[in-house]
Amino acid sequence: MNAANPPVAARPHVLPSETARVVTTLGAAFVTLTRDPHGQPFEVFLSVGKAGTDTFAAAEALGRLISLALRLDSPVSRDERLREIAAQLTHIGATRSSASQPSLPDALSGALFEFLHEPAPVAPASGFIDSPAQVEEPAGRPRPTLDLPTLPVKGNRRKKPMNTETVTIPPAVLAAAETLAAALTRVEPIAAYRRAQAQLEATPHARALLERLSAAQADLRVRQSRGTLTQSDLNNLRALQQEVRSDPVIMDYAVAQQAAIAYLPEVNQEISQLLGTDFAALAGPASC
Amino acid sequence: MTQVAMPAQTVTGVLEAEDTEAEVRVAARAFAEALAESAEFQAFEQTADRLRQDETAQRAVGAYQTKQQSLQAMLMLNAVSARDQAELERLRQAFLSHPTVAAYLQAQENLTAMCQAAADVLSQRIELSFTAACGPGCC
Repeated sequence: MNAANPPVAARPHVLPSETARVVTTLGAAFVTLTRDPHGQPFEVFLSVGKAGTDTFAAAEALGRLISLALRLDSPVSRDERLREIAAQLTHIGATRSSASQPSLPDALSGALFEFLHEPAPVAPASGFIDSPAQVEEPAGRPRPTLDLPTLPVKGNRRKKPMNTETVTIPPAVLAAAETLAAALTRVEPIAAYRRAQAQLEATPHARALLERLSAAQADLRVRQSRGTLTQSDLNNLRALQQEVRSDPVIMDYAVAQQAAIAYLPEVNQEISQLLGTDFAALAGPASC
Repeated sequence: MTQVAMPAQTVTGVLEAEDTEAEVRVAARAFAEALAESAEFQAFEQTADRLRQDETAQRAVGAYQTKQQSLQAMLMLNAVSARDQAELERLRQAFLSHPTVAAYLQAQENLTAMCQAAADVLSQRIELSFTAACGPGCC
């Protein structure tokens, strides 16, 4: 950092701004971008919900952090920072989000790309879920003994995937897990998913189509990060996505997968209520 | 009210579906019981209780968390000054040196490892990641 520059740029008294109204799963949101006298992005304000609500507070916090990232002294241009922020926020799904009603971060990302006069990245195709459904908090906590915060220790293994092959599971837990797994394979959402998966595995054309889509999406992300994305790239990807959506085997698989994913949180809730803590959260390596 | 008779085959299908769902609920509860009775879970509960009662350790944890929260935005941006970083590390070492904290963290690690291994068993059998389906979204 240059010692002559303050860590956070001072705000001029008056700044020009533009505001976008976007529809989100949390209702209409207003995204305002201010620009410095050189036309570079300077601040982002995000407003959604009624003042004083949790939603309003979270949106306010998101806006402030983006503004801070923009105003901090950095060799990276503010345009570039805003592009990176918008890319980070894109395609974060929510429980009820859809193409017409995206999650708040996804809608915010769209507005930021609009301010940059750039196309937003194309959504992953065909309903293959990147962000699994959120688990509901267990309704009751009959054994409220695990409510200590996770201690913020560097390298805390709770935040990392483990090599669980080396972990010995107590025989009673293993037997109960096997019994539960066997019951799950018989219940319709999981059984239907496994049938659809087997059908997909047995259909080379569908598998090849998915591989092409996956490669095209990866290629698009690379081009986007390099700033070489063209309308033709987007059109090609959209055509491929349409082809995938028209494939009955793939769509059967996607629908069955979503149904299975929607069912499993119910099972987790059953376990978590008795355990007094969210089992999946305890067992799942955190992602970030 | 006029009752509409369902075809026998449909009735059987509905009953079977209800049976398998009930079977899953029973198995899920038995699984939770087995987890709760495991040595790993019991040890975690005991160490958590001891940590709650250890006021010195709680103050050390609190001091670290307060400092960390005050630097949260800068930590996210990887822009913490060397002085603040050193202070944060000093506070971290201070709470880690408490035996009750160390015991709690070890018990937490053991419990997490067991739960992850058990969840892996479920995921392998159903060919779908149980924790990814139930947990918060990835970033």
